[in-house]
Amino acid sequence: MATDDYLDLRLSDFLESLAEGGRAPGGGSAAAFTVALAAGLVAMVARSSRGSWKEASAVGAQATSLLRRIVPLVRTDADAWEDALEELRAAAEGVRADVLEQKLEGAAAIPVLIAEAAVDAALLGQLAAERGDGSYRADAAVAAVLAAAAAEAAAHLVEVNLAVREDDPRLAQARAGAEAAAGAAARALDAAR
Amino acid sequence: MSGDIGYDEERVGALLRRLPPAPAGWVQAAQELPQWRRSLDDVVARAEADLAFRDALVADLEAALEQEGYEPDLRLIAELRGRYRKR
Amino acid sequence: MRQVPATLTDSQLVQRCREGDPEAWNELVERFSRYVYAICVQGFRLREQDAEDVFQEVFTRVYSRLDTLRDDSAVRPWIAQLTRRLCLDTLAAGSRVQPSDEVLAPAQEQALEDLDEAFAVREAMTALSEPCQEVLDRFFARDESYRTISAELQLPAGTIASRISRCLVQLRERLEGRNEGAAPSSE
Repeated sequence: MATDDYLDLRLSDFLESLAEGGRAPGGGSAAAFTVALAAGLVAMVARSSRGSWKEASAVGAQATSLLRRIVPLVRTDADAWEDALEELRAAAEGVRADVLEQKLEGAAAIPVLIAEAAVDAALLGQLAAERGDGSYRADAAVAAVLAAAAAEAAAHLVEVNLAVREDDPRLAQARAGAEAAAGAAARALDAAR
Repeated sequence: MSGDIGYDEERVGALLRRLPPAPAGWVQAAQELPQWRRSLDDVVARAEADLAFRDALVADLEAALEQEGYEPDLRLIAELRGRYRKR
Repeated sequence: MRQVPATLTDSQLVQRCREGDPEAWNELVERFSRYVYAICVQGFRLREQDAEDVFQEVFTRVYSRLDTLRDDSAVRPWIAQLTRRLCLDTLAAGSRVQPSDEVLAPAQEQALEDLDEAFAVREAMTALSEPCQEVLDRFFARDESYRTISAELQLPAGTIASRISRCLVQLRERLEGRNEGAAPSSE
């Protein structure tokens, strides 16, 4: 399945594409998609809370902006990962170390962005769980939990990428983000109970 | 909250998003326009008054500019190359 | 810190440019650069290199033809028209088919109208406090994350979303106040 088609696919076709063996989309795209789900849920909670929450529309604005930021990364991650995979296959035949390093760098950059967006979604989910309309707080908590999972997933992808070493600041940043997102999710769950 | 006027925060946020910054290099180049235009006017005036300088521009544009302390601005060079070509 | 306040009207800014004030020129470019860029890449979907060429040509023409502008307050539509013209010329140069002179596809017209409205929103934003302008610009226009904004502005990350919310509400109130032509909204 050509990666440029992802965003126009029916959900069932995208899921089928995800399940296909040996190629993108993979974990990064799935993590980005999860952040998109979380952002979408927060936007829903915000829109449903306009009657009771003065800043609901403003939070909805942030959630929809985040959605627009993250959706392209579903595809971008797949593209970067396909690129890197091709280079890894080529490297098995004849080493092009500098090109491989460059492709892996590219592949590492996207999960960093996904991780940051995931933290944002978790924080917004927490806010919505604390202030949103009572009927929708559980949805906000779900959003925060999904986002925290995506943050953890993205941090893992940053970690396992061959271009990222243990002392790479991006790794520390991604891990700190996953921790922050987990904290936000815990508070969101508390607020929604 | 949402006015009758047609704005709500979501619309405002979406509109803010429509205007990301232009690439910094582009902005800087456009802001430097008056400077390089002044350099251009200066070089052209000198070339008209000083034949030796004009000949030097035709012979080797970049060297002549460097000799006289002008910044190696690509736009300046492109513009002058069009005017001071070897025949 | 800007030498020329961003709150100068377009007329005042043009007047200062005519007087040869270099800071005014810098502000003029700063003020309209996003707009010109957006028209090129969003309105006309030019490739990066073409967009850059048009961008520079627009400001070159603005600089050299500022004296021909009859109504200084109309500098924005003038710049828009210049940009539009140059984008169409660029597309025509790259295509065998000569596009209709000023007739654009409905989607393109809508995109350009949206950009006009977006510009008006940014203008209204200049009346907010600098911290508000900063967080709104960073989050919405620059796509920066809360943690990036927090690090850059040295504010707790957990407070950024609320700050953005409050500033966005203020901006919306300003815009509604403008549209109504009524007294300034309460703050």
